[in-house]
Amino acid sequence: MTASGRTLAQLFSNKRIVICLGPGGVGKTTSAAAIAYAEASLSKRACVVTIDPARRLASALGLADLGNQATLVTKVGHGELWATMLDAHATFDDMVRKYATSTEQVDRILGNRLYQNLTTSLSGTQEYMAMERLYELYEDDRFDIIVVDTPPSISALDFLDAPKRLGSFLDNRIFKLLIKPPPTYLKPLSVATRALLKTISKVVGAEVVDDAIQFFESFAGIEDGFRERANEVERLLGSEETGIVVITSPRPQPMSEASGLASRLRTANRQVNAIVVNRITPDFGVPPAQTDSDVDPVIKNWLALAAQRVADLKISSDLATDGQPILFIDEILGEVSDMGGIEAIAKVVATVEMDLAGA
Amino acid sequence: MLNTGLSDEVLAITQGASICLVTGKGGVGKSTFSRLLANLAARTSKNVLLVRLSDFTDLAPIDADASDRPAVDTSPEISSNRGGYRVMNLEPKTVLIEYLIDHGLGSVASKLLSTGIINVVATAIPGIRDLLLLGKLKQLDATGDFDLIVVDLPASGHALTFLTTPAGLLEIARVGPLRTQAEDVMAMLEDHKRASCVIVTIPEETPVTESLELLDSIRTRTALKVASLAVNQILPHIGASSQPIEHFDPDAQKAWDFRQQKFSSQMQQLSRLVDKFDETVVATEIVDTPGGRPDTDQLIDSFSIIKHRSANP
Repeated sequence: MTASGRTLAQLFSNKRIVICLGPGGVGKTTSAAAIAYAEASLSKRACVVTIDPARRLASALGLADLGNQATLVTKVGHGELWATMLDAHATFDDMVRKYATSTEQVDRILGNRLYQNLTTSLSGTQEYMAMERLYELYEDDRFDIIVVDTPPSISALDFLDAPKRLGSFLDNRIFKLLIKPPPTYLKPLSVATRALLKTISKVVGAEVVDDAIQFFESFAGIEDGFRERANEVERLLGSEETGIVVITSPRPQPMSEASGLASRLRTANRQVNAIVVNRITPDFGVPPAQTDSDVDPVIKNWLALAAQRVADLKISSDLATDGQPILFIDEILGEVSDMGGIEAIAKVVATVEMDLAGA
Repeated sequence: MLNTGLSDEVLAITQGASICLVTGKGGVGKSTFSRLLANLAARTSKNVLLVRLSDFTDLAPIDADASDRPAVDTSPEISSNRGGYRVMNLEPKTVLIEYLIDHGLGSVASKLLSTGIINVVATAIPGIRDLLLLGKLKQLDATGDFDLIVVDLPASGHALTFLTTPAGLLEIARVGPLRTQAEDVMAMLEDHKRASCVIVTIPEETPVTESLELLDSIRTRTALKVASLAVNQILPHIGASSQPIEHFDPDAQKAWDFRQQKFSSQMQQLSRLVDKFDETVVATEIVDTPGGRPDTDQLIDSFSIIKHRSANP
């Protein structure tokens, strides 16, 4: 392995947005905060957006009460570390208020019985709202760089796909028919649609279908704003202004998830710029080779940890299929979901040169 | 319910319920534990089913053993395998089609799907997919074919949504077949003989805290019985040294120190769980499998019951 000549913080210093992807339970949120901290140490005004931080981390970032508002966590030299949490429900409400054509429409939507359910439990809502929020922060001139934490792997892909999926949902023929009464020459189609809806009513109950139709009808006129925003975010995510980092740990399950994620990203033509592997077994030197079969537990442990470190580095390097630089972060015992943990990792992000695998 | 084919340790984990929902955050070994539980049960029963909710599970293949996975992932067919239990992968779409056919709408099912109308309705009523999956579990249980159905649930945030779906739908659907289905599923989740759940975690501070929060949420927001906690990735015991630690190379001492510290912090986290939870607690040790995943025997060897609570007769 050779040094890449750059730290992770340097690699992303010309980006406006950094998206952190990876499996659950690998310290992704802490790493995202550490990347933002490291950018702040390069005199940037950095904001980390967390999706679902553990309580302890949320309080370390001063998010325990504030949530959706961006808060200044700390100044780092000339830079600033800001943090905000994604509140999908509040963001959705804001979006409705922003794009609605009248206050009556706002009331009609927010008052719909399905709305509450939709904003809290619809899978994908988090992702749509994350991208909406991301764009707001991108346009906010208080920040130079936005670091986004995402939900674990599979939903993270949803996150990147959200603009497209929202677009295609809004373009759905049925959806259009539901929100706009068709012109007279399309009436036959509408009859057919109504017949289908009647069929569905038989299964799910007429009341539910009525509510759903009413809900979609109440959205008439708003969908253009939604779609426009979706297109803008789609463009932004694919541009040079956005960097993608895959964060994982060297255990088999997260590794194979991360590699699945990386190959799906490749298929979708999204470039992964860097890889961070947390929880690498620390370096305890090279133990002498053992010939005796009855080895003392202390030596056995030394051998095991040394072998584990070699395995950790190997499995991590395999992930860099496109020759991306990798940052290895040694396992830190004890809790890292606090400011001390963030600072410790930020130091590595800001000062340790990344490695190039296979070189 | 016929649980006669199951051993005491399996019953301690499930508390005698015939459907055992396995839940936990991503990356804690939830799928591995589901497989372990199915294997354990299959040692004494020929009627064990492992259900995976394929639309939700992670991208990674769950098992090293390819024979464990049915050839067609999306098929609701049950497939046999070498572990002695059967596996079913459930996908919302296939369950939905089955539901439509059962309700006499088979002829229009494909039209409903191809026009996208189902998507529009299902998007507005998000719980409908979860409800149908739960309904399918209920139906599998009602066949009486299985002593135990182990269900590998999605990661905990989703799991809670999944479990609270029926109650949510009861508020939306005042009448109609959907309501009946929601009521039936609620009754199933509330019946401790029929359903219980296991929360899987690892012995680290944040995962343990989140598991205790999940435990609390399940208990306050649902009537589902939390039958046991499973703690994965415990460091295996490697014995004590015969010599004073100072006799070894300083690097060996540091490595030993690292392990001891890690182990004692694991024990501390384990006792947090044991202190706060009165039911069964089980643990599995890390299995050393260079480059692969543990096989069935290794899995079962790694497993031990920390706190045993017998299932009520």
